[in-house]
Amino acid sequence: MRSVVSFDSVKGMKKAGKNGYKVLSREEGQKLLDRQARRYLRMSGPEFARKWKAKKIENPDRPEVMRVAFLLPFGG
Amino acid sequence: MVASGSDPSNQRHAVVLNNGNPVSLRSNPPLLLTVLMHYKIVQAQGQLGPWKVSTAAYIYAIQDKQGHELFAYHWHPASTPQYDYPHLHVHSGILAKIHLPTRRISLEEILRLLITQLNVKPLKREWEKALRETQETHQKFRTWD
Repeated sequence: MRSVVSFDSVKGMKKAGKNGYKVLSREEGQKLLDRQARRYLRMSGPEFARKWKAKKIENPDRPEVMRVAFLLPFGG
Repeated sequence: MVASGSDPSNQRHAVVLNNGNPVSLRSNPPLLLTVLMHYKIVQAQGQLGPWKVSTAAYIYAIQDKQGHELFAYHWHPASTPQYDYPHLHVHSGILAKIHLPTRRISLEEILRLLITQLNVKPLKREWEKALRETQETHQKFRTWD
């Protein structure tokens, strides 16, 4: 999809291909999941993935939880 | 945008804007946008095939400049099976924890909403044509509403 909204800062867009997106490697994806899990939930990516799969995340519908859970396909 | 791939053997992939973080929009008042999507690569027949991208889940969230979520359109049936329908969260009072039912919402509709009603400045003069074309393609090929 073409960009039609003005973004002030979009990290990673310079690395994006002509279609406007970049496919992350498994290692890059795992780093992204780990970074965001630590940022939003103060736990590592593997710890979040383990707890999510075991359904041990409290109130999984919280915005900060969903924000990390959506990254699980990158490396969960 | 970053994506997790196109391998059809994996059940689910993700594509997210700005590594999953909110993006500042040029708007008055200042607003932030989060876009998180899951998709699958599935086999399809006829004009759709032999492979197509099928949306599996989405979150489009609008926040104020402090990062407080104002409202968010969600559909994530696998994550929260008890709320398996497309829904809207309005972060105000008693509505904050309610999953208000909606129809399926496209990213194009969110971008149009931002531009036409929330004073977000479009990057391209021909934004309306660009959104209309991609929305028409989306509506032509999507398999559910």
